[in-house]
Amino acid sequence: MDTSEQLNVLLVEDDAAAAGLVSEALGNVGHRVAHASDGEAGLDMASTGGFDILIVDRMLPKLDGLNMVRQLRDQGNRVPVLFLSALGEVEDRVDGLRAGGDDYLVKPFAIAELTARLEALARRQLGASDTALTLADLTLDLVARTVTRAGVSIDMQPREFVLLEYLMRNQDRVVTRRMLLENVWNYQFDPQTNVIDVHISRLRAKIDRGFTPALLHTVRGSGYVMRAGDG
Amino acid sequence: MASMNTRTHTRLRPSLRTPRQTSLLRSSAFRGALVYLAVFLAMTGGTLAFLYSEMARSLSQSADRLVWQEAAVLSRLHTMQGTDALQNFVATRGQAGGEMVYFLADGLGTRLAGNLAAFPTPEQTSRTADDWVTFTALRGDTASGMPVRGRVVVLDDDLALLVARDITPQTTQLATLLRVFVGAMGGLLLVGLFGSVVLARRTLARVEIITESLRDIMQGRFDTRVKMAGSGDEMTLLADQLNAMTARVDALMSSMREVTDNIAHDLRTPLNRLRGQLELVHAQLDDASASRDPLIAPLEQCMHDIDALLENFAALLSLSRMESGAVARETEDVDLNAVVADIAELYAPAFEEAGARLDVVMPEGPVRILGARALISQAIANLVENALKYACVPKHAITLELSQRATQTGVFFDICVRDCGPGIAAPDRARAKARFVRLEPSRHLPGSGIGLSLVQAIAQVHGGELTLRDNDPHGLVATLTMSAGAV
Repeated sequence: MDTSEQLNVLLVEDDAAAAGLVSEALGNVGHRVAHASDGEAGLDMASTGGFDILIVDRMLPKLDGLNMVRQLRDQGNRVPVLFLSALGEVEDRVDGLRAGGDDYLVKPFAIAELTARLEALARRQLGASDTALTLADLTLDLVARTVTRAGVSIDMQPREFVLLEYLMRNQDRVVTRRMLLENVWNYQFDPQTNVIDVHISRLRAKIDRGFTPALLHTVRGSGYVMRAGDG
Repeated sequence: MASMNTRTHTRLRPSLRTPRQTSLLRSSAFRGALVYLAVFLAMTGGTLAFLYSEMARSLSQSADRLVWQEAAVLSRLHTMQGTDALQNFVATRGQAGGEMVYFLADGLGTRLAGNLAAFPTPEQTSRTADDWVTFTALRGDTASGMPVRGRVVVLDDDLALLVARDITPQTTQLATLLRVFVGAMGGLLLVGLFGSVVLARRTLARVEIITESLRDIMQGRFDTRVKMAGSGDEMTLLADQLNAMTARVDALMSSMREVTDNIAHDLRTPLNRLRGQLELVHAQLDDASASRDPLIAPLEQCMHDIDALLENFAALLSLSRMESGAVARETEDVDLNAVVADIAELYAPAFEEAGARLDVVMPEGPVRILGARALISQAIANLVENALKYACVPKHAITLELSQRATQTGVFFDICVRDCGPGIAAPDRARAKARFVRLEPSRHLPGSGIGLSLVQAIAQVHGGELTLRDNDPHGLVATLTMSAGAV
């Protein structure tokens, strides 16, 4: 998977084998990973700055992940934080987000899921205040809530608009089904059926049918990506 | 090491099976005390009645003996000294007054002597079997009548002598006795009733302490203990035993939670690592050659299998924690209409894709419940997904219906999913809700067999239950019932 940018990632994880795996996987897609194996070391390294994003395990020796991030936020550090945890109940996620985390990924997770979320999170601040999103000849007007492609107006259901907006905000980055379910529908559970695929194929029929090039691509084994080049 | 130290139990609301409050009148302590009181009163009453009748008999016998003696004296006087002497004597005795009444008459009934104006007519007297008469004597020297009892003795020369005695003293005595006895019985009854109420309320209050605690414990708050004041009586003994039992259950639950958390950490972590390594290999194989490597397909199958395993793990852990009451710490005001509409919006296209339809029926306006939104969404999604997977018949509609009903035990919400699929045979329905059970026709389809167990557990967290029944003419109706709680 290609990424135009290199991210400086701080991984705070006490399980050396898991840390090695994540480091290797992120290295393979071109990111630079620094590793801390307990909460105090993680806090020290994060405080010195220079990281684009933090990946923090919730359960850490010396200082647990929640408190580490809380202290970091108290220092005024706004670096994006992705929590990793074996605890996956809704309230555990809520705890994580309350402590100042920006996203929450429950172990076990697919490396592709982690990479996708990481890249979405690191770049989230960009374009948050835009009034319109564009990709090739597709334009989303966030104020008027309208969609046009090649000057042709496309009719959208409210949820389809939110789905397309999320995909457009993350253009050129892979978005997983789970990310869509969490961010577009606000659900934490995993459907056992292909509901998301059905929504995507309907959206694709609206924005891609009769136009070239195709903008909404399926990434096998991971999810979807909006990009102007070929998939 | 993962260990859950945060013990969080929240009672959402009383469950469907909240026992009724026992009222005082229905309590066994009160009924027992009443029965005891009745027996006690009956025995005391019997004793007093016996005592009373004995007293009455004895009083009347001693009075009667005096009358007898008097009559015998007069009779002998008549025999020995003749009628005139008797007449004089009776006149003298009669004038002396006192408590005796005399009347001496000849064969024609003419008064010869005595302090009675006339012989009482049979209507004025009541006569007992042994010829004793009782009547109200109107004596010359008393203004009002005097109740007397006596008998008529027939003497020689065709004379009739009535000797009677005032019975006022014994009547008064007996009346006083009766008043004392009735008063005593009334007092006993009052004291007994009061005692029963006090006893029953005390027992009820203590039983209530126990049921209150048990209710909390059943809803997953295993740190609850029965707080029973008192020293060493049977109730404190019972409370001690219950507390010991709860402590044991608490310890077992804690260790189960610890075990599941450890499983979560120690078994899922290596599986996750394994999956990650497969993913790395997969990425390298995918990149390395332009043509598709023959190893990629089996590799993807492995990853898929591990994913399924991990998903089952996650579902099972969720279920265990839900059943142990360690979830739903945060409840909020949830609009069920919105939740149902959102789920319908998510799944409707998938039904249309399969050639079927998802109809939604909801009441007007917001339907509010105090609950955990994420859990309720998941439960409804599970039911809808089951319909989608197992019962999606082309050209048929699956109905998702939200309704509200009020019963004596409170307000309940029903979320119903009606399908036209194969349904579940009645004997299999209870089993369908058990974990890991996959019923025969759909055993080969993907799924873990935890879906309905999870729905059931979520329903229970919300004071309700999951029921399965036949749809008419065919298919299944799965109903998720939840209690409205205190919104």
